[in-house]
Amino acid sequence: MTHTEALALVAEAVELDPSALAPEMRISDIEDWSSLTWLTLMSLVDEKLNTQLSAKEIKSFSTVGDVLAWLESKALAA
Amino acid sequence: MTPHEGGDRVPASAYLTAIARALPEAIVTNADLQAENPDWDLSRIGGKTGIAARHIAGPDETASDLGFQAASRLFEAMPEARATVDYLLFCSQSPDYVLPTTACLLQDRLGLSTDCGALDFNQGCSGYVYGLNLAQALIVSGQARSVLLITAETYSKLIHPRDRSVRVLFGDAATASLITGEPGGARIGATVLGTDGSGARHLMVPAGGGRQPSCAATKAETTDEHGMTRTLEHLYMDGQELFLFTLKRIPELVSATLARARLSADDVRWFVFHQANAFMNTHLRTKLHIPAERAPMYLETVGNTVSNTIPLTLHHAGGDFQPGHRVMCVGFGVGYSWGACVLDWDTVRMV
Repeated sequence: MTHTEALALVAEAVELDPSALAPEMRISDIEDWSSLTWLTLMSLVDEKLNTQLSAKEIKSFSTVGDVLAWLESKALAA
Repeated sequence: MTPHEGGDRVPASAYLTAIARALPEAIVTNADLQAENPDWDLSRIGGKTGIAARHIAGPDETASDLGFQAASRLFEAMPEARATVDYLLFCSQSPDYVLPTTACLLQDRLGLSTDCGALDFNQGCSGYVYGLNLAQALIVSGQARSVLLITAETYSKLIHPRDRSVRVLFGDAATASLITGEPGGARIGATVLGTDGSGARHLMVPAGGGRQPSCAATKAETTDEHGMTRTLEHLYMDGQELFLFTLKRIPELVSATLARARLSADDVRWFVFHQANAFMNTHLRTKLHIPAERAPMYLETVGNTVSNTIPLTLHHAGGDFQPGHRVMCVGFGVGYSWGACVLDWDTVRMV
């Protein structure tokens, strides 16, 4: 998926405007980013990309850019 | 237990005849949890989980007490059933004692025949499907004529009060179901079971059993990186891992059960999923293209009650089920363990 699509997906999960997010932001610094955000992102990834974002992958992410890079490496489901 | 004697015909099928339930009196609402834990942000949690309140067992109230209540209600409504029960199955992860078997205590307390088989089995969210499957096997093999299946759980006693991740989800409850070979209830049809013990560590109480006996160290409180406090003797759940397991495994389970029953999804009128939480259940249902009106949810006032969720949802929504409808029950969770079965619905008595 494109950078813009990935950013929109992350913004939807964290319930923020895409303009409020930047790749260099540390996830732990984003107040609105909770455990529910991850579950929502897992759900959106399953729905839109027809693949699963694993708990192991989630643990490896530290910045918004890490999440965007992972999403951008995946193709949208047909 | 008396196996069928010579000349008796062994039933070709087993039927779920009646379901009774028991919920503890005490209710804990999200507002109660918020007042008790001012530092928790519960503003969005109710919307996501679909849970507003849960019933919690009293300090001296055990799972078998709740199971006794549910079974007693069943026998009040169907007094003739008490003497006919010749097998008691008790599904719980909260036994009264390490030993003896809780089902033996319940045989006596319920006044069941001493010719009755009685067995505990330790399963969680897949437990009701397992219970129906075992009951069916006992009946169609001629080993039992009338099986009382009790599910009873008090996870609240395993939850640390400062562990929000599980405290907002789980509630206590019990149900009692009667399964016989007499046609007229819901015929227990195709069943598929599965297990993946590699996921065991993601939903467990690590200490207090044989592997890690209770000691001072297992009673020490720790607070994890998410601010959740518990000891090794409390329930631990990795919500992400459980969600991942559900996404990967349960659509496959539904397909396999449809295939075994030689049905398409449209042939099944009702899908009764284990009620984990509204977020997970809605996602699962959407992924399977099942409309909301065919997948009843019963979470708001009871929460996730482990092996009780499926019979509680049948009890809650079964009034809409008509003779001739097919119902798929789908259980999944701790173990990992999963199972699904098709019921050919006729008239099931809800007590």
